[in-house]
Amino acid sequence: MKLHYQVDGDNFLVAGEASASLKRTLKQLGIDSSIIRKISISMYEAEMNMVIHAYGGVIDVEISTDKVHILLKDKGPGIPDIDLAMKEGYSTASHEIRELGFGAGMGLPNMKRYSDHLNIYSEVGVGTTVEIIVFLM
Amino acid sequence: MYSHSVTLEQTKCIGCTDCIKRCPTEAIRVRGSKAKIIEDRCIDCGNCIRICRNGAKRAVTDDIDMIQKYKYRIALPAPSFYAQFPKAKNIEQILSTLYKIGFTDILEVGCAAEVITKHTNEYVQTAKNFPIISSSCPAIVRLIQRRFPSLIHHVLPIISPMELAARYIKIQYLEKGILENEIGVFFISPCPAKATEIHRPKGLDRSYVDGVLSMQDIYKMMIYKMNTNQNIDVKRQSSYKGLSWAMHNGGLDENTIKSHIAVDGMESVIGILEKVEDGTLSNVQYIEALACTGGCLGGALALENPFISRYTLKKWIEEDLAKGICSNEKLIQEIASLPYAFNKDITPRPVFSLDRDMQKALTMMEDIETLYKQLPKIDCGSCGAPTCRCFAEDVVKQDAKIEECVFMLRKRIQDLSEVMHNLTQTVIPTHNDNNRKE
Repeated sequence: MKLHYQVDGDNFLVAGEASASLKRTLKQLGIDSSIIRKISISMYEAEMNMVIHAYGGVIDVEISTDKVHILLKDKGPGIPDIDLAMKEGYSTASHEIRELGFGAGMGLPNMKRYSDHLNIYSEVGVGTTVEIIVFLM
Repeated sequence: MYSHSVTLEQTKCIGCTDCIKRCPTEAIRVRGSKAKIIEDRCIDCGNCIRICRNGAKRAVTDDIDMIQKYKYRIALPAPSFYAQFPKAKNIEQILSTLYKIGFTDILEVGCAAEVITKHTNEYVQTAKNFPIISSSCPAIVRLIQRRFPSLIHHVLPIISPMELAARYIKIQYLEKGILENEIGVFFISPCPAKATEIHRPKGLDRSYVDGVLSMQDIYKMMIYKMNTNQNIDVKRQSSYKGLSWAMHNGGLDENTIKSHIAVDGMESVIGILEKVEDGTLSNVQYIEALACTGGCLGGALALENPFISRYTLKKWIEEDLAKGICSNEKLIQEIASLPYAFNKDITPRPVFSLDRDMQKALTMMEDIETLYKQLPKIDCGSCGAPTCRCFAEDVVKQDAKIEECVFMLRKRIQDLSEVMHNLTQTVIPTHNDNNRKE
């Protein structure tokens, strides 16, 4: 089945709602709770990145009996050096954002840790597409 | 078979939709003008009891007459119970009144709470899976089993102060050679979930508590005997340390556990558990989660306003400190020597799962999504389900019919009347409507 979410940029109040909604759906599908957790953590990170860095975007999720495939697309500033961004502790967040407890530089590393496949396609000035795959078996 | 402590009084229920909206596990539907509790989903939190303005939801606790069956009748009063008597002279007065209404012995649950605090601190120091979530509130443990099964291994595997207190006192009597059927141990409870807890314990095979009595029932018996002059001499067993358990933040030692969150009130707890699931709170060591606003002081069976109760307890804590009242250390040490860990795993109860077969569940989910899109999404509750989404699920599960939604019904009537109107335009071959002779 396919699900589509619109993520509002710059609205911290509703940030994370797509992840929360997907989590509810996955629970109803009877998927193992430890796998749901992997999906929730990686998707939540990705969704928050969209809100913080890229003025929102769209998320398409496809659920089949063997895997959950998540595609997050934004038209944000893009990531100049993906390898660098993947390093633990690396962060572009401003001082103010860090004061709020975000921007510890664990977002991308955590997404990688909790997903089975993580692909990031990004072009500076055009946007970023993040693909997350978590297998259910 | 005893299953739940929240039940419905049929005659009082008028079929409004107040309770269905506030149930954290979407366990109530209105059918035929009566609320119906889906047993599997109910976590005994008591939200519906508090919200019902007709008093149709009732907490089932044990009958007070039950104590007469036992030769030795032991009361386990918790600090939350003391808080129901803001005008009492002191805690000793409350305890002595318990003897006057028929109990033969008392063990303050506060003693066991002091011990559990120590055990919790030790556990948190050696644990690996953070954050640890407190297990003393049975409604929260039930909530985790149903709504957050991935967090089960975060639950503190330590029994509640009530259970530890009951274990200690019962063993004491048994060691004196008294027969087990002569010993009755009774918890005076602020909440219905504790009643379910002793009949269907979590994390242990059997409970040492023989009955859970409602705070309201005991209160009624006590107020008449409170001020008589023949006070029975009682000695406090616990002190300010135990009293603070009933306030939120009470279940932990702030000096040992540095990073912790104390959260109360069902909606707030759910918000925090969602965050734990999303992995954003892994830097927190301990979460004390209580279902009722104000913790146990705000239990559905408590009479006093929880904020007044907090003030009352604070006052007594200060008095204890000023008078230098200490806990009975010998007693505390004896309680501390008893086993306190869970001896049974807590199992997930994923009641929200649509079907065991994932392919079938996926098909159902697609149907739910399609139907949901057609619904008004205003969650009016007229169909008897708490939300449009929940209604869509009920329809797909064949627990409800689509026309039970007033908007869908109106649309269906509209469609049908259109068909009927079209039929009125049918040309009758033998007849010409324009050429009718007057």
